[in-house]
Amino acid sequence: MRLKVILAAIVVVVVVVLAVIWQSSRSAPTALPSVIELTNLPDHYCPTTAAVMVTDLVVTKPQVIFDSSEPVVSCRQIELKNLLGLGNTSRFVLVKLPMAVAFRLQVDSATGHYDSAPSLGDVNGDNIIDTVDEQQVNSALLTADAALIKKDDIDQDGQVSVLDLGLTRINRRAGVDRPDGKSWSLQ
Amino acid sequence: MSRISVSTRTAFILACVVTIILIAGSAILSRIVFKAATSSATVYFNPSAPVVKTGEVTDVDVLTNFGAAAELVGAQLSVKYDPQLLSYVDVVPATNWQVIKATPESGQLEVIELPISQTSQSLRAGQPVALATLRFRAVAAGQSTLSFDPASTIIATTDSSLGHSIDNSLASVQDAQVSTGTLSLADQAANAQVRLDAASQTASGSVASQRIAGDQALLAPETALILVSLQQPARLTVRFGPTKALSNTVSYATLAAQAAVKINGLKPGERYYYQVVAGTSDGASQTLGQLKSFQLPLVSTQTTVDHASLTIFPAQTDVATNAYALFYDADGKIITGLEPKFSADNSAVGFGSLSEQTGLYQAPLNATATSKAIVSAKLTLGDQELASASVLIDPNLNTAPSPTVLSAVTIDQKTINLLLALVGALLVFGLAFLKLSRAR
Repeated sequence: MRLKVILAAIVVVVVVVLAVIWQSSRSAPTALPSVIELTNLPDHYCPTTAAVMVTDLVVTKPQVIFDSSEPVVSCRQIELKNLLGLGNTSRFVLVKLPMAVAFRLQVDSATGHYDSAPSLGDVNGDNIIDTVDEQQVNSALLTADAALIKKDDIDQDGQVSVLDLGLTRINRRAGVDRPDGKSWSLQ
Repeated sequence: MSRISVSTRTAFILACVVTIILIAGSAILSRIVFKAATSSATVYFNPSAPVVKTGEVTDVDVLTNFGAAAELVGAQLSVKYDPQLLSYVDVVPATNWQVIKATPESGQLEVIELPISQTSQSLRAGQPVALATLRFRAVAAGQSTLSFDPASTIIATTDSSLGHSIDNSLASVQDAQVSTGTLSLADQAANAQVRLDAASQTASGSVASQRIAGDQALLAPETALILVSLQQPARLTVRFGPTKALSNTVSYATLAAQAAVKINGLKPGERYYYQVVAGTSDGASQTLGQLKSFQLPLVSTQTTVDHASLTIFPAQTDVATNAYALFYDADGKIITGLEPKFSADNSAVGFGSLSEQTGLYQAPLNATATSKAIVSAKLTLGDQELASASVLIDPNLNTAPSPTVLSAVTIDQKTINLLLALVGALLVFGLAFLKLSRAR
């Protein structure tokens, strides 16, 4: 009797889990293949290029396979087909976007789809979001100076506002360093 | 009395099963909750109609109120006032807040605030939160509107579950009328009475806020139907126009918490801007929605339907509501001249005669249900079912004491099926457990 109950319970659980998975998959948008999708970014934020590196999976002194600037398609996608050295071998891809700290993700296939949510707030381009960035944005709040807006308008909505200031406060962190010890060229 | 004994292994398995089911159930329910309540904020003044003698200073609190729990990161307040009547004195931050910047310039005050010690402040839904106190001195006699500029006012919130982004959660703003001059005590009492009439009082004595809970636009080639839900009944107006100047106005005839405001005579393919305005019956206070825009679809020359939409508004009713349908071709253009049919899975619900206005199909939905029921309505064309939507029929809706607006809740048929499956699964599990206990 106990076995029957356990089996019934297992069946119930499997049905519920399958139902949840089915429901989730029905509502999930279709994922594009062969891209790194940049997610959870402000609506107006539209980077045109990103600094991209591809390395092997060695953490200490990795071999750099690719190091170049890549176009960001439709403001949100970095196409994997352009990245040399990606096949079906697992690689690290390092990405540095303007106003964001660099991030790293493991890519196992050039035909896969990968999501990443970059952290915005690095207005001085040192790959760290800290009080220096906060102070820089703070001093430019509500400015009408076009040069300052270009420099400190993180979310690219046309004004240096509390939204930009907030990004420098909630995203306090350091980005991934380049394996060769150099500075990221794209700010 | 016999004792029920369950082995440790069985108890462990049962605990695991119950946990998994609860996790799955909560995941499903959270999806619905997120659909029902987004973190839309309203910003308003308290009091909404302050009275001040010439030469004296008046304090006006700035408060915000969220439709759902939120993490508040910062606030940017853009306040307009009449510099001929009022002179800015000071801004005092609320407890745990700091003013980063305050710039008064010719009738417009910009204030930026942040939480003091933490990067964000957790807020509960529906709980008014003070942001700051603005201090003005009356310099001449008259009436000045104290209003927020919705284009520049920002309520910055974050959702840590969605990564590291920040959104502006501001959905609506509510202005205030400041009376200045050499007022007698009788005048002040009269004005205070106006204030009490203008905004309902909460139990704590503070002025309750109006909120535009949601507005959705159904777009046909020559018609836009703006579906508006408010927290409290109000006099509704939609300002609209081809530019942000919003040169045209459509008003809803009666005080309502939910209204479908139709704008006719528009040009297909053109972009229009609009703003929902909810005013009190005496005009003492207004709540402005955000400036939004839409682009009207074009008329299709085809008759082959690619997809369709069915909207029932209000989605919660006691006896009557309306169903709206739109049919699109593969290019997203609107197909006109069709003869669709509405139907429901409950005999207590019936549809009135169908009408079409250049691609916007509409039919009244009448309910005779005597008990609360969720009814699934279907839109069919020929033999093909193209869309479905749910409506909550509640005969006691108008007698309910709470004015809570639930029209934003859109539970589709699949979700209902899933919930029913979950409830059924729990029932089966309970029965099995009962049987096991008896067998022991």
